[in-house]
Amino acid sequence: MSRVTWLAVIVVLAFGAYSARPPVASNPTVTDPTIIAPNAAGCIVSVGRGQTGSLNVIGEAEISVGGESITTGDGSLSVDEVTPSGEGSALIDFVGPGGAAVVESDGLIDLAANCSAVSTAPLVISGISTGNGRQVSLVLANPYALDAVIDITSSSEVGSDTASELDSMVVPAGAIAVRDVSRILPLRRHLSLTLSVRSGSVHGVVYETGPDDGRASEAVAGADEWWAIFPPIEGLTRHLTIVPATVGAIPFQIDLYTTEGLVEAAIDNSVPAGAQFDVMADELGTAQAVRVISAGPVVAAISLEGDDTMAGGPAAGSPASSWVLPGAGVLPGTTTVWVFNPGDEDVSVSLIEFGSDGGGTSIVVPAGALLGIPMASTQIGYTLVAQSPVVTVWTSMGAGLAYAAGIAIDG
Amino acid sequence: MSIPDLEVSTRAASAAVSIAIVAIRGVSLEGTVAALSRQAYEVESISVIGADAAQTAFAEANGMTSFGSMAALAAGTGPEIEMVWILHGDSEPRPDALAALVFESQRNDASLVGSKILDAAIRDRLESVGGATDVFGEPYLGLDEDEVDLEQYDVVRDVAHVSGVSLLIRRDLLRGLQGTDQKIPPGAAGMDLSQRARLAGARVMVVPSSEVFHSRDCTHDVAGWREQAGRMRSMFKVYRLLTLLWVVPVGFVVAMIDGVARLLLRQFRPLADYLRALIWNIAMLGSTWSARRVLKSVRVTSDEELFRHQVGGSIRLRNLSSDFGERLGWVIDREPGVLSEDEVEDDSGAAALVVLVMVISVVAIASRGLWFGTAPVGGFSLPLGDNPWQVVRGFAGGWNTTGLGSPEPVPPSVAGLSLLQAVLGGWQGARNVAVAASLIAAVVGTGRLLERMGISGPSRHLAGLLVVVGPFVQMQGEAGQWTGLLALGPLVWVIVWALRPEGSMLGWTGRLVLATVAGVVGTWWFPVMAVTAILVGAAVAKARWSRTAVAVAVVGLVGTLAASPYLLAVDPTVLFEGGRALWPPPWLIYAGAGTLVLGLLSAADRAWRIVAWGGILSLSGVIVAAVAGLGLEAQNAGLVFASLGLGLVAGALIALDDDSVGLRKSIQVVVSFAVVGVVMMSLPAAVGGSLGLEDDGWGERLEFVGALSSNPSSERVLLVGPAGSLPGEVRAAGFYEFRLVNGPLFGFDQAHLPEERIGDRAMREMLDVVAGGGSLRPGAELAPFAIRWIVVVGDSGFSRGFNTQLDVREVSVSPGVRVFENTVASARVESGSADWMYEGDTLTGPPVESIRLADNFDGGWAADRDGWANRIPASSGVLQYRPDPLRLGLALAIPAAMALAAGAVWLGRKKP
Repeated sequence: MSRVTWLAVIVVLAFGAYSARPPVASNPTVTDPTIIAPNAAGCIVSVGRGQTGSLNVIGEAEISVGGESITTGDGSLSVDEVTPSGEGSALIDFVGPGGAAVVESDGLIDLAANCSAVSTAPLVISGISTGNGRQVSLVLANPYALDAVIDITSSSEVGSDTASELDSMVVPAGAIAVRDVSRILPLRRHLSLTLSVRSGSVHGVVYETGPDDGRASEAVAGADEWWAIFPPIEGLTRHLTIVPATVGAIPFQIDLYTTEGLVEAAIDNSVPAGAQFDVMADELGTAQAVRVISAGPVVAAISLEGDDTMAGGPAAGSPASSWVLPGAGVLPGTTTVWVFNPGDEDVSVSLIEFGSDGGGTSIVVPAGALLGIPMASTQIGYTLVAQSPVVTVWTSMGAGLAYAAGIAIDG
Repeated sequence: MSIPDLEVSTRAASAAVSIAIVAIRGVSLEGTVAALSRQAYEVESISVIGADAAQTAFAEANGMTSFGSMAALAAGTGPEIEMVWILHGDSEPRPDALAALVFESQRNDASLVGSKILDAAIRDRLESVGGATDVFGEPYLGLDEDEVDLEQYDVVRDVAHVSGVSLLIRRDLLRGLQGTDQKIPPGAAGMDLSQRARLAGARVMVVPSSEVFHSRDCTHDVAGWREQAGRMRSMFKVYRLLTLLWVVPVGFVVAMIDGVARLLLRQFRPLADYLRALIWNIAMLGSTWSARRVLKSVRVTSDEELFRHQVGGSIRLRNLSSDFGERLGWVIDREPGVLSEDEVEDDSGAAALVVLVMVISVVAIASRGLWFGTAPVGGFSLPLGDNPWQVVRGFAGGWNTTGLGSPEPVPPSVAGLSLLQAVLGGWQGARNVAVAASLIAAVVGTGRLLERMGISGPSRHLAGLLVVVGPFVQMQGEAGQWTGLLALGPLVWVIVWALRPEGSMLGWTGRLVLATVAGVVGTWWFPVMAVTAILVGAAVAKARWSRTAVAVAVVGLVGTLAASPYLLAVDPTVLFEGGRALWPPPWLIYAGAGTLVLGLLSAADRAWRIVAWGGILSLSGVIVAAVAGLGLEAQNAGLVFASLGLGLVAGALIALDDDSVGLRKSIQVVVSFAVVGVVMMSLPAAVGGSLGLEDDGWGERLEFVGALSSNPSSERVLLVGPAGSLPGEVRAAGFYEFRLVNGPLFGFDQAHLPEERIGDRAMREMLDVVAGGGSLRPGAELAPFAIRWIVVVGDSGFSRGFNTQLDVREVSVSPGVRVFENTVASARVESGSADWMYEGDTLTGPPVESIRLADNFDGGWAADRDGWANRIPASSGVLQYRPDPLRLGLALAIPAAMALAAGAVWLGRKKP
């Protein structure tokens, strides 16, 4: 071959080498892994002097304290079995659907709080008040193997708050940390706390006690749909708080389920980061229940207060056909299960005492109606099965008032 | 000063002397005995030592006694004899030789005196007048080659040693020293006896007035290395252990420097001789130790007595320096224009040597990190493992312990390097030796290759610089690859040997087989090179179906056979996995293409074809390297060929054609400058000292495993990180990559992961759950895989899965990474209560009913399936993996075939 031929080959190869140049790599988009939390719940026990209580588990589960499995199965445990010292936590590892709650009573104050699902997302506790001489304690439990580092921010009617004592809180593995919120953030009438996890994970409960009653409210992760039921109990003021569980303003709307029917987007607003939205139930007309739909994760909480009673906690989740109500009927007062039927058809619901072989109580809830079903006392709680999706919460009225939302188990 | 009257003095000297003639095999004693009969000094008896049948008959006929050894003579000689004159049977002393020895011995109170030795053939040429040594036992005679005796050394003086050809020694001293060392050849024996005598308190002197002519027959049957071995043995005998502690290693280094440097002078024997001498002495350590004990019984002085007559420094290095200086003298001393044709050729050779030395120096600086044990750890640049034989067995049909274990063999490159390490006693520096040898071979070979192609002159060695530190090697380094460095040297020499000119020393058979042997070595590093070698064969043969093409094609095919235990076992698609697009800096493509075009147009007839083929090699290599889909192996091979091609182009273009004129000459000059520019631009790579390889800290990150584990070899470490953050081969799983590491030392033997098997798939599914945080007890999930440690690099998101769990805790033990410990970890071998040891393909422990081996299930363990793992009956207490007979047979056949090939090379050579 002549030089020219070789030259042609070289030129072709050089062009090929140039063309083989790989495309300039763009910065790879790092997507956060989808964390699917274990089907487990963390329960906090903080028993004051003279109080008794129980951890009520509905559903097959393994219960661990301090990383050690102490029992397997469902049922009720005395809080002494969980923590002889008065403060502790347990982790409930459910085999299938289930729920758990801690209820406590000292004859004057009744408390009920669901065990919160395992999550590494920001957690929110709202509807707290540090005014009127109330004692508010934040209890953080880390039942896991890694130390947790938590940043806590607060919002109230005075705006966003920061406190150095709540910044970069370290909760060692297997330990409990308690903060006196009424001292750190005093005189807030409507206070919300947002727990952001830097590493590890925690469960949190706020205990708020007044002269005559108290309430326990668990920290929960945000969601984009909440259902708040306002139990029509005489003498109570009812309050709804919406707190963003992420950075940035979150638009939301509130649909009212009144006795006259559905009022969609009765409130269409946006809640800024570090702020909260408060509304009195009385301002919502004849609403028995409301649906909160948001464009991002928020937490909606109910606050119920009478002259000498108080209760509250997170609202219920989306309507479902099966619910568990752990702790319902365990406290000494009168327990009422409130069932709201958001559908257009009447729904037949059955309330079954957990662990019993009987058929339980069956009742028809009319379309768009909220029905209160008084329940007999029991050892663990109830399950509710409906023909079509409903929303349910329960209250207990004795010496004190207690409230907890139902836990949906059908998806 | 008066000159002593020899005759008077002789008469004055009186000592009963016995003569011991050291018989030289096949040499008649007649001449020596005749010379003795003319001696002026009267002796008591004459004996012969070590005589053969003919010599014994002659001795008996002349009334001489025969002894088997000098020690026997010393023991069998009574006190009536005061001194023994030891004389070689191939020597002829002057009539006054003994008288002079006796006189000077008595006059100076010397217990051992030696004669001046002259050449029997050229009777005024000096052979020895006594001498000194260096600290390493190398003799220094102080004589020039062919130096004539002008009585310039005729002074009776103390010396370190005298020649063993003729020496007079006190009988009692000879007896105490148990004679000369039978295992040491005649030349070194004199030095050995002299040194031992001095340690026994004797004065050793040379007596030049005693002249002995020596025919040197004693050296004919003695290989050069035996003399060196004898001197080494003498050194081992005479020095105290404390001195040997530093003399031996330093001496080894000096000998290595000397041996390697002499390769540049095309002197291959010194290195080989030293190694043979070393091996011989290792084999003789037992008898050396016995000889030390004998010497200890008569020793009265310390090593300082030996140091007293030693020259400073190393005589080896002095001679080396002298030889190099002599070669360079051609360049420095000669005037241009007055040289003969031969001298011109020598000039060119000397200048080429200078350039070659400079290039090798630059290469040594540029790759110093790879030579001297500080090689970066990252990518596939990993230290060698700690159990090389296990790795070799893993290639030869045994169990590959990497990851979750596999019957799939380790790649040939890993096996080859481990074999070298095993042969060197497990020395981690085997990697450095291999890299250094390959780089030097590549530099020297490139020069030789260009010479074969008709490019002479010193500048051809600059091409070698581009081959080993050029941009394509840098690309490999930046990609964490280094095995290409090991392939460079063999590849170049494959082509060099395949291109040997007709009529050279090796015959055709030898050339072919030699090329094949080299090809086997090269192919081991990249199995795919077996294919590409065929293409190169066609290329270097200028596209003609010549014998050269056939030779290199055969190289490729035999290379395939060498890697057969691997190639037969793995899925062929494995060879095309693991690639990622590599592309050189754009300027190199632009400048390279322009230079190629101009070079092709302007180069002389003999050069432009080399430019063309080099360009095709280089550009093809670039294209292959850019295509990730061809796989890691092919990409590395592509870059190796690209380097070689670049070197060929550079070598052809740098050498200017003296006959060119006008525009062509101008273009040639421009092109040459461009090539030199590329060479210069490659030099900054020398700063890092690691040819582009980067250290990402993995050298220290896993050290904690050895510190915190009681049985680290039985535990696994799970490495997790974002793409590109982990060393060695990894597996991708969504938003992270992962791989397993056995024990604390993450070595090159674990760099390549075998194909996924049943256990790997189970682990991948488990990791998906753990990474998603879906398990409350991930430790329990990881335990069946014997994973105790999880090392998470960077923000891969994987560690978030550990936020909500109960049995994996974080420990702060390693900077730059998060380390988690599985608190419920299991061992790789689970036996219930008893402790079993995991040693690769062997498991040992107290007898139990059965054990669970957390490796991929495989029938070679004679196991029942336990999920994805092995359940093995263990009543014997020792379990051994049963190797695959076919792969074992193939692996064993490789060295046998290599040995046969080497034999064929020897037999196939042409006699000059």
